[in-house]
Amino acid sequence: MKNRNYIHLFANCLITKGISRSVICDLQRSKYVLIPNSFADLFSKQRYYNLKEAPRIFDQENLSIFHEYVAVLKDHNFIFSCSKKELKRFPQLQLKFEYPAKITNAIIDFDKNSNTTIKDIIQYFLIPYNCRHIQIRCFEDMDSIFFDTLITEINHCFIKSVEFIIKDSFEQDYTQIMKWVENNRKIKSLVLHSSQENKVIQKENYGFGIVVTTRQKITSESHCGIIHPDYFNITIESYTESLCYNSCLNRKISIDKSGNIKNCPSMKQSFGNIKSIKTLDSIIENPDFNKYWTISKDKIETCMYCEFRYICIDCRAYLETPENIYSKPQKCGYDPFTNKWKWDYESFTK
Amino acid sequence: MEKKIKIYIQHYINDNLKDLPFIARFWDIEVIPTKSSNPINPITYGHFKTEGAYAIPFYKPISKIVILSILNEE
Repeated sequence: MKNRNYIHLFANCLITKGISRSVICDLQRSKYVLIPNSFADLFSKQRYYNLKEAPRIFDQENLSIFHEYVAVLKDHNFIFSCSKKELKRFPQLQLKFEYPAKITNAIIDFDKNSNTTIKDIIQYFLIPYNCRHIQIRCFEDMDSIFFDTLITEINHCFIKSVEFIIKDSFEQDYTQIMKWVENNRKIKSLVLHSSQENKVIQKENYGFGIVVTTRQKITSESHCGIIHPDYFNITIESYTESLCYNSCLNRKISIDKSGNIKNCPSMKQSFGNIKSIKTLDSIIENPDFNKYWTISKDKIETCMYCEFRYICIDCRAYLETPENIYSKPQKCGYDPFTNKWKWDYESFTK
Repeated sequence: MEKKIKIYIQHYINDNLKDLPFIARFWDIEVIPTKSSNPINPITYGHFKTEGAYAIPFYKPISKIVILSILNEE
């Protein structure tokens, strides 16, 4: 029996240290656990700790707290025991972000006056950049024929997933809409806003086909930018992207309801209109456009002290100090110094 | 039944290696049961006539416009 007196973090479990506490994120199981900074420090130089050292460092009271945390991490499968000889067998995870697309995702807003076709958008702005995940948003009532046209194009092209956020005009008869989602299997989710009730109409099937209704009245893009634990995203792609890039705007394009190409529909600056432009090449290279891509959370005021900074999806459209592009997101009520949510988005809107 | 289907496909691949992509012998075979006896329509991707049984979702939220906590309360 080997003397397994070391505890070692699994390669997919990464510690993010904040100003007053830390989190361990499990990038495979998509979960996190909060830990004190003093405990996180034990793993700061290397990803393992010799349990035999603990009685020398801690007094009796702190030793029992230490063992409680070790038990919690073991329960969550964040750590495993090993011997000194075995330590070198567990290399660290490669944390470089790589993704096979110049543009990874797109937001496309439509209204009744939108004079753009999805076919052109796909052909000129998505295919050349390998952008295969899109979100379509409509804030006003739209004809169901419009959505049929959209999905027909999407079904026959290289798009992998589409999310719809549209106004509910189905008067609680969701049978047809459920069938529509079931038949069009690239639909990841369909959110019907301005509805009469908050309800999950259809649960996910292999991550697709979710249909929900919400009473939330989304009348424009100004409702976007919510920072809330519900939007924390604990995946290896998202975490590694956040280390060096902006977690929201990196490799994103948006086309607002008037056809303007932007970083985000909520932002004012437009880089051209799809009626007059047939390529994104010059826009992607434009420093004014891609300057947001490299604003990682480590560069953002307040966020740089936050333990959630690599799992939180940022917002650069609504800032506490709008003239400062490194300012904290306006719609975030979390204070990393006190570890308290001063307010959440619902109370913010009220 | 699932095992039988897997073995059948494995044999098919081995017997037709020349007609399939060079990586075919490393393909992971997954049998997906359906609710009805009708086969599920494959998802098409346009490029090279590629088809798939399931699509892959994006790895992060594309926008943050919906208040998800309302849905969790229900």
